[in-house]
Amino acid sequence: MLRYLIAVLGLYMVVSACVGPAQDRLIITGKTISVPQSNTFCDENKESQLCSK
Amino acid sequence: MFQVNENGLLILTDELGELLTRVQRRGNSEVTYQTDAKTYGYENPEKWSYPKEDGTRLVGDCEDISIYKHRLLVEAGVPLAPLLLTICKDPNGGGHCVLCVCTENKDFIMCNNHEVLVVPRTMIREGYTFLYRQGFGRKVDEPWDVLK
Repeated sequence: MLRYLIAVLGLYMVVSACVGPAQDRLIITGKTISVPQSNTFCDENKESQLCSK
Repeated sequence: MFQVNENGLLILTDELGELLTRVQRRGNSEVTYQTDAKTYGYENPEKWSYPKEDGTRLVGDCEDISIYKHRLLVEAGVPLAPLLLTICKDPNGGGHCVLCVCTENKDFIMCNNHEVLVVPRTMIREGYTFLYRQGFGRKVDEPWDVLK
């Protein structure tokens, strides 16, 4: 039984490594960054709902 | 009106699904893809804008189309917080922009390179790499989240 479980787990790991995780969500790292192009957009579109200004 | 759950994620209803599908098709069909170089005469720095009128048609590149879809969704009554511009690399290593719609079930990606809505894994398997996403509930001129 234990051998069977190990074999299934091993197969799962091999398949996951090949096809990648079944990812339905984007995953954030906790780090943040500024995107300069968005600032330029907001300078020119102050009324946009995308902008804080 | 479209509702969000306690985490601010959109509750996926038939009405919302139909709207997302309609806006995805409409954005891709109404805006003719055109590079910044052709529209504005330069490519660097990247020019973010609403699609530009060019005679009887709208033209724009990937972020312009994503911004346009964002506006269509907001005008239809979708709350702002779960609609997030997202930057990735395409399979050729070029910069690309899409709109991420965060629902309680999954994230839907609205991409002008795809006819229909897709989930992140579809694009990852095609060779896209997700880099940054507008902070949840934040504006684009505020800090963006770095993605794994």
